[in-house]
Amino acid sequence: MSHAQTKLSLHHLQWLLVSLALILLLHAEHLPLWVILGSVSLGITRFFIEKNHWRLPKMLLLLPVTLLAGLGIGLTFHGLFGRDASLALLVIMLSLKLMETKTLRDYVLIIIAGYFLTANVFLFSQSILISSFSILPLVFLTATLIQISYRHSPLDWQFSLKLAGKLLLQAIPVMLILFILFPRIPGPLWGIPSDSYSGMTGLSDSLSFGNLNQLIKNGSIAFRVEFKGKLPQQQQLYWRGPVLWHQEGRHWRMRNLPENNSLPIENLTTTGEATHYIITLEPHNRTWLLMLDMPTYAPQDAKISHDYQVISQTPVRNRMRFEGVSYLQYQLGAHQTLSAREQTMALKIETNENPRTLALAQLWQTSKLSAVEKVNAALHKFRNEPFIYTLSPPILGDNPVDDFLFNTKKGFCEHYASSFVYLMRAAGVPARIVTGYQGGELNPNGNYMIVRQSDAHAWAEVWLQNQGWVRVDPTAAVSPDRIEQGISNALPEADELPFMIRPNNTWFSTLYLQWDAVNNGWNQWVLGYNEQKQLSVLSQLLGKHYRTSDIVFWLIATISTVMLITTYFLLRTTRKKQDALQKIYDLYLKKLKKIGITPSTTETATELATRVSLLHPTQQRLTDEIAETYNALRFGKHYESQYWDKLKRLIQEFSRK
Amino acid sequence: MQTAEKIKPSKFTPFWKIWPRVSQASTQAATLNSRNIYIIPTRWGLLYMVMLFAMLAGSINYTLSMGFAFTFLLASLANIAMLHTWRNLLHCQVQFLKAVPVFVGQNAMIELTITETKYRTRYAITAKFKANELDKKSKQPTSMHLATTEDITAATTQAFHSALKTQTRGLHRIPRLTLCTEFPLSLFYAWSYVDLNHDYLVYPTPASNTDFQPSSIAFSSQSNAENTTTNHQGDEDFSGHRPYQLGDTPKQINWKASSRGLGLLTKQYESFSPSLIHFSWADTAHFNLNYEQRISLLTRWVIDANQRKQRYGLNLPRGNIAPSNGEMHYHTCLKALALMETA
Repeated sequence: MSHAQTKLSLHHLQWLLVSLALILLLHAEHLPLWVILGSVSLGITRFFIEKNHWRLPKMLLLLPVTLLAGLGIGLTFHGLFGRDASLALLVIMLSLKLMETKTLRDYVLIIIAGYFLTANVFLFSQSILISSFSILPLVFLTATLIQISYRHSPLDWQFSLKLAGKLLLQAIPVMLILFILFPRIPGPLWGIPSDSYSGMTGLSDSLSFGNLNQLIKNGSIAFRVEFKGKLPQQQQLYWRGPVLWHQEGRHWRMRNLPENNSLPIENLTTTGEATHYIITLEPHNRTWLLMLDMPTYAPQDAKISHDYQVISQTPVRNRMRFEGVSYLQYQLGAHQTLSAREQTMALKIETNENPRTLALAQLWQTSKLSAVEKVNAALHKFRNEPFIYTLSPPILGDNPVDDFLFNTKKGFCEHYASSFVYLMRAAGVPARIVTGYQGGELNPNGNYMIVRQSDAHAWAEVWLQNQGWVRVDPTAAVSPDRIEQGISNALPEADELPFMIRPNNTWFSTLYLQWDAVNNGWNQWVLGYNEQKQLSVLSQLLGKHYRTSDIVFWLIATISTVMLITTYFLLRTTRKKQDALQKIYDLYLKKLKKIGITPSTTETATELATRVSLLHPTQQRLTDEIAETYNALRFGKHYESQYWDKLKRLIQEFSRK
Repeated sequence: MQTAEKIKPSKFTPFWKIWPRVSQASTQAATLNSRNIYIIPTRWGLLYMVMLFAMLAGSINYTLSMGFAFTFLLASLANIAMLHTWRNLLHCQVQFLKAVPVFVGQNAMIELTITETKYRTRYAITAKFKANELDKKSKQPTSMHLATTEDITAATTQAFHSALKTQTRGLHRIPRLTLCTEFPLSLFYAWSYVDLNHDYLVYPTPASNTDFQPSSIAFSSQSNAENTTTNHQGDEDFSGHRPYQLGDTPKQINWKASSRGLGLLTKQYESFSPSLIHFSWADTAHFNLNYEQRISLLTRWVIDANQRKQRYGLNLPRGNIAPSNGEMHYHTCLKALALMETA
């Protein structure tokens, strides 16, 4: 069978090296520089060893180098078992394996490892771009496998690449069937390296002065929304995220203490029509799901907490698609009284700082202002004093709220929300911070809305007698544009914002929105094809009550059918190709008739060429070449390569003369 | 080539030799149809499968949609490669051409042709003989060295020369031929068996010891007899070259010429007197030799006489061959010796 010990030639080595170089290029972004340089120099060294017939390095040399490389990876990544570390380890080990690669067995091992390494890229990105690029090493690896399967003489490079492409194209139908029908088992099967989800951005469970503006400067997409029915107005688009109760100096945190869970759910009364929508949430490695204020429905494996956050059981580590139902007009906790515990939580502040703010609140208290009047007084302060909305606020001192309210007066949503809530609590009005996103950009290409990290927002909720928790957005008091038209119109200095969302960027944003529509489709239908989606597709295909055996049956049936059809096309004789050859050649014969040479039916192409060159000695080179190429195509080994074009060109050249 | 007597199926034939469907080529070409072609994954194919499982497990673990797509594409690629490997062998027409007789120990060259009729080039088709009991004992990878691999261009006929190790003289049935291919991806091995239904002739080993001379030489041409035992470059006149033939000893080959790339040429020497000799089975009885050694000795005499262009006849227990000379006669004699009954 296979002759594992067969030694292969430089020709085969070149193919292998090119394939590996493409894999390296695919992964370059995720590899430390020294691994890339090391692999490249190992590849080049291996090439020259083969070219100059040098001896391969001995085990005595390779072993310490291998250990050293392993150590290097360990030091670079502080371990060997993370996602990034194992990729780098695989790359450097495969490059070192090259140093002892000489037999067929070694080649096949490297190619198979190469396929595996190529697939590894999807741990880092599954974008359209990366997925398309991964086809390149795939084709080259397959072509290399073809080259080493054809050992008795060197094989034309174009032929092997074309054949590899052809094989892969023919493989697509069965791939699609498997993709759709093959049962998706929900992961994970084993532990996932802790660094697998690094680099995901999103809201955090705390708020401190100056961390949200980093998020706002991030143009990446937080989630996409498809609305069923009427679109809500821009100023109604409050996407509810973490609710922050707990203040510690300049930090606000969610309360994830056990007593938090036992709080009774706040009573929600809704009026008006429900808004239905579907959210496709980008992974952010946190548990909360974003919903429009106020959600009345939690997706599977998620629940609504007492303060109406929608919390998933597991962190969102894959793009997730879920349905949302919300009421834009609502009253939250209107017909309840605040429990003692809630009261304590919603009023607690650290009172050893911010004396001026505390004094102001004390003044309101002694003036016996009602809660509503206190809220209005605060908003009045924001509205009428020279407060400025900016993403680059000055640094705040030891008493941050004082500093902000009375000195700098420059900040963005988190400054306004947190100082407002602080002020309210100091004045005895129960209040809390809600973080989330506000607004969104409608993509006319796909009729959906894009909500970016830059739409991150923070606002306040105050508890008023008989009205319950009422949303107050102090930012709106300062910068109504932020709420009504989105962040890109609220800021005077546009260059603080990510490029994608700057205003007056029309042609680019049109193009971008189109590209985003394509990406959205890719996310929905390719990347988002998980067990739930498969379930719904299968129940559409096979009816509601299908069994596992039905899937197996359909898998076998469809694959067999496709294989039969493929076999039919593979076995169909390519007589057509021969006819096409005759057609091209007939042009030449016609031309000959015109100049008085009648080809006979028994004459071979070579005989004819000799006859023509006797009459037209100047054309000898051309006629000989035509006969040679014709013979090569009809009888020769180069049945399907570049010879076709050559014959056409020669005959055209002959016609011209 | 004549057919040897049918070997009686008295011996126990193992089932694995009966079960496979084998294409039969006798006077007509054998076509490898879909019922004749077998296919199994190679060890690389199995390794590839292990890799696919690893990729599938990774895709499940990390819920990677593109990982699934990639795994399925590679799985489907193997499936397509299987069809291509199978198709590469399908509908090839195998025909026996000839088997050139050789002496025991030399490789018998079985010449056959494979014709492509479906207008598509077949790549890397290997023809080999698997059966070789002796080699199994010595555990040498003989089939590897004896295999020939060729392409068969679309709509053409390609000649294959497959070597076969020889161990005993006589007329032997050409063993079952295996045609196989792993093209294009080496993940699958497709093969087909062909019975060529022809025999090949193996001449006896010529005796290397030339001390024993036929007694009949004594009264026909004594001087010559001495010459044959001594160096050929001696008193004889060099008369020219002829192409190498099986059975020529290395001494007779003009190595200088072959090193210049002229191919193997055998030096020929003019005989002094092309007189008549009768080689007789009875003559060999004087030399205390066993049965096979006697045959070998006769073979040596025939070869030497042919080289000297003498006229010679052969008297064997089963009949006599009238004296003559020339290639035809030479081979008739060798064949008669090859077909001597076994002791």
